[in-house]
Amino acid sequence: MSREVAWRVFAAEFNSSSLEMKGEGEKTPSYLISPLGAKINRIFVVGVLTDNDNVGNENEPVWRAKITDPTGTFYMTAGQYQPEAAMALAKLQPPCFVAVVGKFRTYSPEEGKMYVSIRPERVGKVEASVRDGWVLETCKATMDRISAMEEAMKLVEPTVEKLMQIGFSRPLAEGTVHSLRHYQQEDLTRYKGMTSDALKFLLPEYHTGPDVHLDSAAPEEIDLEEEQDDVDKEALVLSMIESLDSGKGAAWDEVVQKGKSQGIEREEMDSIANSLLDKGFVYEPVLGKMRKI
Amino acid sequence: MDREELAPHVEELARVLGEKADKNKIAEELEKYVNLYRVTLEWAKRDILKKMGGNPDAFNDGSGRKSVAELTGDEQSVDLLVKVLTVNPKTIEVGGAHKSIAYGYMADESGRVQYTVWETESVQLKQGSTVLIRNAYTKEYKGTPQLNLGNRASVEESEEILDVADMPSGGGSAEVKIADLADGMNYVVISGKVSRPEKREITASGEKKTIVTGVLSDDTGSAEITVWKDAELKDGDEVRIVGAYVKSWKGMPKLNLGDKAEIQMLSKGTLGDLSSSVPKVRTLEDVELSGGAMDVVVRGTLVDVREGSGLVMRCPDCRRVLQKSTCRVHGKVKGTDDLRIKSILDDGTSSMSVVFGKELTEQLLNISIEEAVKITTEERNPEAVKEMAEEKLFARTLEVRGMVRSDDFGPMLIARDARFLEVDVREEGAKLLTDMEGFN
Repeated sequence: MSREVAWRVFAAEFNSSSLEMKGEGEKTPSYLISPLGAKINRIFVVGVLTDNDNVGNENEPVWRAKITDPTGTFYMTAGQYQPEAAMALAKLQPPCFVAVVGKFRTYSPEEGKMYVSIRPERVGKVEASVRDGWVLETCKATMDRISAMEEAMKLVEPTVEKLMQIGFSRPLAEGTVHSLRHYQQEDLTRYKGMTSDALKFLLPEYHTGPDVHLDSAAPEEIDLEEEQDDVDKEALVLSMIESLDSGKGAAWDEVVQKGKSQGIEREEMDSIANSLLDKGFVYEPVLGKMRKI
Repeated sequence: MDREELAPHVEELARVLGEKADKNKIAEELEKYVNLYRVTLEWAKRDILKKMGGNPDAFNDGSGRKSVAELTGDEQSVDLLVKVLTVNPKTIEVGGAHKSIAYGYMADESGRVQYTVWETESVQLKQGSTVLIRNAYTKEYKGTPQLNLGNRASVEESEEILDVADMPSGGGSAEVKIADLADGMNYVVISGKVSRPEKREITASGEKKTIVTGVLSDDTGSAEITVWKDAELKDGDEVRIVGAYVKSWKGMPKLNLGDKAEIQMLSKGTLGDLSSSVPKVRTLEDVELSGGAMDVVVRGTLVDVREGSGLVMRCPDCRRVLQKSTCRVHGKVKGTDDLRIKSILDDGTSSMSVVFGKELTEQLLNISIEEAVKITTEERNPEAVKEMAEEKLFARTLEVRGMVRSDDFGPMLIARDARFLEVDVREEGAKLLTDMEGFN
């Protein structure tokens, strides 16, 4: 039996998955079918470790960690059955870049709801360049899946054979067909936008604001200016957080104080903080503190 | 249609009717229906079957009409609408007599299949024509179905146009690359450069024979070749081989040139400069499907460092890795130090075991074996070098060149060259973003 390949999937796509195909019998693997047709048993992820807590005890540690990528957050848990991953996590201090190879897990608290997470097999600290390489590779893989999905939607009756004839691999062709049946008309625009945002994440010329398309013709100029203003303020607040951080994060109250001196009111500061948190530029190591990622 | 043309259909009707069949009567009826009443052959056969007490649905029993992709390899009787891509006549010996057959490829929109015509008198195929084949049968050979046109088969030219690409002409069969070679392939046409040719004397069924072995390379890789007769091959010769077959050894495809195979000399430089070139990068999925390769370049992420990696002790006599200073064969011995990394490489299409030997381990970890021994002793940790490999290699992207062999545990790449791959994410990212905008 050959080893399951490790899929390159962004958090936003992974977390939107709600179709599990359980293997029948003992040795047949289970798969998670993503909205874009990734047929995941194993996954490879590189991102920023933002939270890492032992929710077990000293003798029986259970490490729960969060890893963010440009699109969202992966959740993972390593316990006694993942000794190597748990040991590696025990040594890691967030924030840092980590790479994870693991298997998917699902949790359904009620009918129709499904949460997915990663059960890590191997975790390791890596350099920023490895994360950038992963983002690029995952963009390519996501675009492949989008084109498989688009080809499949063009077919009257998409089958694995037809998709393989077009040139897609068997696992992707299978995943695409399963996905189309389960997720129905999936909106590909969202995933295209996600992929181009992830690409912009790699390109410094877009760094001031991943959500603003400065060079696209804007019919409403005022909105654009406002948005640009927001982006400038976000950059400003981000630099305040960085400068007030003595190693364990900057106290939010101090940042607000500093903001006031620059003419930004508390309410606006809070909304800027939320925006920065959403975009993954900062995180809260403990309540009331902010840290740049 | 004359009697001869109708004969296979008579045979078929007789087969369906079984005991109660009178071939002369069937032939008479069929001739009347087809030639006098001008009923289509298909309807004529159905009607006759009904009239003579047979079940007309019997024609659909086994397989009926199928596409090439639907063939399983055990059809007793199958109809296909296909385009004849190649026709190669061949003479074989059957019970001391010579018999003409023909073989080649046919295809429809779903795929391609190899065929053999066993009765070239009654079935004549023309390259490039589209034909409706009836009552062919299939056999499985090395996992792929092969189509056979026996004495029951009939062929009608069809006006239908099939969207099938022609095979590249010349020699009848399509020319392939080293990377395309797979176990069980026949009638292979391939061009490449010869290296390390060597004549050998062997004894085959009591007779002395000279054979030639060597290596053939193109821009996708290399494969060992064996010419099962004497041939003049020199190092650096550029050749085109027609009619070779492939047999794999430990998953690695090897080219064999039997009596029928032909070697054509090409003028120097036809294939470009291959001497220093590195084979094209292949996906792991592609290599896995080949089963192996003599020389391959792949790129992937190192996703696991396995047990048995790092500093190991080997038996001075047999090079086996020692367990607690003990060799499985030679008992307690004074071992010699060695370095190796056993790992898994994954490129998103598939994954493969990769083994790096001492030199590559030293290079990748930037450490000498002496330093490795020192660290292991100082830290009193036999796993020290393995841990170092995990730290330095996990999640890194590598380009690896080497040989791929398969056994019960799947394919394994034995590296002979490796380097970290540094990708310019900004440049590639910008390019991809431009592509995306076209794609939106």
